[in-house]
Amino acid sequence: MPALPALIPVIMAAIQAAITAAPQAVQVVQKAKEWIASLVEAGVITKEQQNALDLDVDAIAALVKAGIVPNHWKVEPDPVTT
Amino acid sequence: MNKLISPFKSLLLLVALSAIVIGCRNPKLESGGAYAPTTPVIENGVTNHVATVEPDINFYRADLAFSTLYAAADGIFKFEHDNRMLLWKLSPQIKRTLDKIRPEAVAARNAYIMAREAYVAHPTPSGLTALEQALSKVRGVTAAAQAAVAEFQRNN
Repeated sequence: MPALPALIPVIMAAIQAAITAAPQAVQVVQKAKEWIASLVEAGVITKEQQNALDLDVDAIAALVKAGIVPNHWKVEPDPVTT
Repeated sequence: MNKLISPFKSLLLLVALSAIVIGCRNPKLESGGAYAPTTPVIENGVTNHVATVEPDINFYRADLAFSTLYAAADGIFKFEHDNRMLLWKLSPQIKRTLDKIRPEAVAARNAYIMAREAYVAHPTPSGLTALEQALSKVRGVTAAAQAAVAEFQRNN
């Protein structure tokens, strides 16, 4: 897979932005740890880790196939301020 | 917002240092996982699980990168959505900037999933290339969303 080193600073910056922005960023941190582990460790990625990732991406795929876009991904009208 | 930063600073530093210092190694996928599937073969009454395809570490990495980038973009969009009124009063620009990114993020998400479906059906080198190209679009929109947040932080 080309450009893996190029992915690292982009993903780090994205993770930092998400962490400073969102309480649910704990999930992002966990995913980031797994991603970095896959790059930097010469160990084994377990069946459980693989299956958990597969399920995670499958859940996103289910949204796509159902044509579902979460509300926070949609462009909504600007707030009305008085 | 600052309360969220300090607990994660040391973790971020550790993660960043690990990535920079150690670089890329070649981890192995345990047989029987989603990216290293096996087929049960019964011989003399004993069931063995045999790998019929090569473990696909590149596919695993692509999916993990996509999952991480998706979660990061999702977190940024959700934060703005859930705190819209407050953020709007501080600066309307963050919503407006993210609103330019949102449709592109949806398209990038969909394109990755389509490329993934095609690759799972026919795991070829060209399919992997298409997957990586779709991933680069996801990377682009996540970077843009991150830049919007960073700009907001600089100006506030």
